[in-house]
Amino acid sequence: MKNIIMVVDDDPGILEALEIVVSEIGYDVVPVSDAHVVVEEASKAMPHLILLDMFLSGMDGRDVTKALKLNPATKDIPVILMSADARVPEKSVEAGADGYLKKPFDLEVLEHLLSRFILQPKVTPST
Amino acid sequence: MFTGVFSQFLAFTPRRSVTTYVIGILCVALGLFLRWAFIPLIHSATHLYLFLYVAILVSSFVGGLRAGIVSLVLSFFYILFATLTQPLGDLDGSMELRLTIFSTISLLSSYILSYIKNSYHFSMSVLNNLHSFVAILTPSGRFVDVNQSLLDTFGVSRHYIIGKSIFGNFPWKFPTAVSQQLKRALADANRGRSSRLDLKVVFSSQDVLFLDCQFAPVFDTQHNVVSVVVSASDITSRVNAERDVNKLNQSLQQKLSELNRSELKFKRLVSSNLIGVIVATLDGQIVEANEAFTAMTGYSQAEIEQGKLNWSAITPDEFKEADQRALTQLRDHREAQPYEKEYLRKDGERLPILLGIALIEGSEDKCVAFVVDITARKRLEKRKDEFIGLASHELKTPLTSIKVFTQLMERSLATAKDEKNLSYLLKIEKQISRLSSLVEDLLDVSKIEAGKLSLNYERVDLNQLVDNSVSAIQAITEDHQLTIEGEIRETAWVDPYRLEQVLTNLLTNAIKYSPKASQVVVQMEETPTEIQMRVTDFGVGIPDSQQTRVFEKFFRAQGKNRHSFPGLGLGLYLSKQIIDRHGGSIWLQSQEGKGSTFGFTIPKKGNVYYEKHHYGG
Repeated sequence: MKNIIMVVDDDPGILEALEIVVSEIGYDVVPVSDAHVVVEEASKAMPHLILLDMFLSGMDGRDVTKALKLNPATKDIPVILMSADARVPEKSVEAGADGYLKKPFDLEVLEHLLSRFILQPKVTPST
Repeated sequence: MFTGVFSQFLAFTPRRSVTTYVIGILCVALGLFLRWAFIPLIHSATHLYLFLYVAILVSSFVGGLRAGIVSLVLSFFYILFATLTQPLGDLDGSMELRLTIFSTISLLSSYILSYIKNSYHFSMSVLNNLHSFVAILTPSGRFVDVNQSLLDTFGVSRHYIIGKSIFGNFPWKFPTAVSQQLKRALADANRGRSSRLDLKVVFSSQDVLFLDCQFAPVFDTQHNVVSVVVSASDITSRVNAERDVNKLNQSLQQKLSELNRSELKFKRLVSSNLIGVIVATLDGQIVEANEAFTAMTGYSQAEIEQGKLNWSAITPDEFKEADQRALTQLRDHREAQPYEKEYLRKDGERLPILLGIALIEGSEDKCVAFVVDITARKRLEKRKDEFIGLASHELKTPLTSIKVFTQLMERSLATAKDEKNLSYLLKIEKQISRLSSLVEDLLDVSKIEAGKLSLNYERVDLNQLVDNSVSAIQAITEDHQLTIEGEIRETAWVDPYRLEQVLTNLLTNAIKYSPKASQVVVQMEETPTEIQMRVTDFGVGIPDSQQTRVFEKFFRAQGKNRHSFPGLGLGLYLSKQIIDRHGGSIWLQSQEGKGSTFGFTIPKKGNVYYEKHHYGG
């Protein structure tokens, strides 16, 4: 069984791209586009990592992060905040996230980041 | 009483002196000598009296009353002596009576004579000592006599002037109109009327004299005009003063009307209420304000009249620094360049304004200022900035997607060893990078405009930073060789991401604007407090006329033939903003056709003041 990564973005284009790229790297992907259901979905799917967009329509990714960290079921799941904002590093730390990803990103950067939290995909990516 | 009358008599005589007595004695001696010389012809007591009488008259005339009295006394005793020693021919009767009559007549004559002489002398000396000019003319206008001050002023002698007509040739002349007036005045005097006129006399030396003259007739007992007395006073200084006063008055009137006109213009500007106008002291008190000002700030005229309004108190803290700069300009140049700031309205809302200030003429602490409400413009600018921010954010989202997919495709093609398609894809990627850096610039601009560009200071090894930037650029340029000169030993507090952005920008510009050159040089220097970096290219250069504008937003340098280089014209603007925010300065040295050097300095300790005041330290 592959490691599961939850990807949260309200932009369908980005969500699709992330879904493809993360599964290409070799993970199972749980895509979520509605910020309000993230905690609920995460408690159900129990992903190994959550890639969370910082600016979601209707809810701030940082508030979602705080909610995840307050929930006993999800508090140990690493959260990586994504944003095009140049100040994403500090903002992520402030929100209590475990890492950050600045958009647009290079594939190598994403791979490296994921490997920091999850030692490796359980199954090598199929190409 | 007698003493009084006598002393009055004596007032007409010269002071007592040896001369008086000598004259008295000499006259009697002369009379006796003449009588002796005439004895063969006339021989009688009558003649003795006659000669002595004449001697007394002469003595009185020449020597005055005192000399006359001396002569009289001598004569008296001589007659007494002569009558007693020898009989005097044909005169009989009482000698005492004759002597008394003789003495009385002689004394009276002596008095009258010296009185006449002295009163003439007295009058003349009064006239001569008058400051005014006096001339006595014949009815036809010839000079009979003039006083000394006239002679002195006109520079002629009495001898020269007496007998000449006033219309004759003199070293001065009267303007034609004045000659006419003179003739009229003389004719009036001949008809027995006095007249007064102002005379202008022009001397041959071109000096001008103004006289206030009076022509008065002098009548004889039959009321015939026997002479004309002209008295005149020099009113040149008065006339000149009057003329000066008139001139002064005229120019004063002119100034006043100019002032009135400009005041009217100013009043019109103030009352038009097109812009706010205030008069204030430099320490903050608003003394006067027009309706436009009260309307935009929400304060009332009553509050201003009570001195309750202070421009410093209604200025939010972040604009105090700009106000200080304006005050410095005011003190140095008496006016301050218009600048934008905000006031706090009475209801607490912020009012964006454009403010121009000038010190009031002649005052060191009062100024007049115009206040333009720029709320509408600011709102528009804000919307524009928000739009740019939103648009670039929206552009960035698909770019992120595109970038992910191109990278995925790149991997597939690399695995499939499809070199041809891979090369196409690399070209696409290069353009995507370009597009994303343009979007990045637009986002940065919108952040700067919104005041949201924040710096993340870190202690940075600048050699490393420069090396990284230069290597990154060198990797994508084939035609230019980038070299680094100098080094910086100390680390500095900078935002590495932003500083790299500046360097990258200067380097890409250097390459872009020197298509035919092959070298770009980066130089580094340091002082104990500052670091300096310069990027030099040997390209097209920038014309003098454009040099001051290169750091403006959206400005793009144009080469010869209006050839332009690609770009949005944001790079140098952003660079300047970033360097400014670091507390440094950026500049350009360039010569068209030779190349350009862009340099900047930044303090090693970071911009402590700014960060402290804007981000709470």
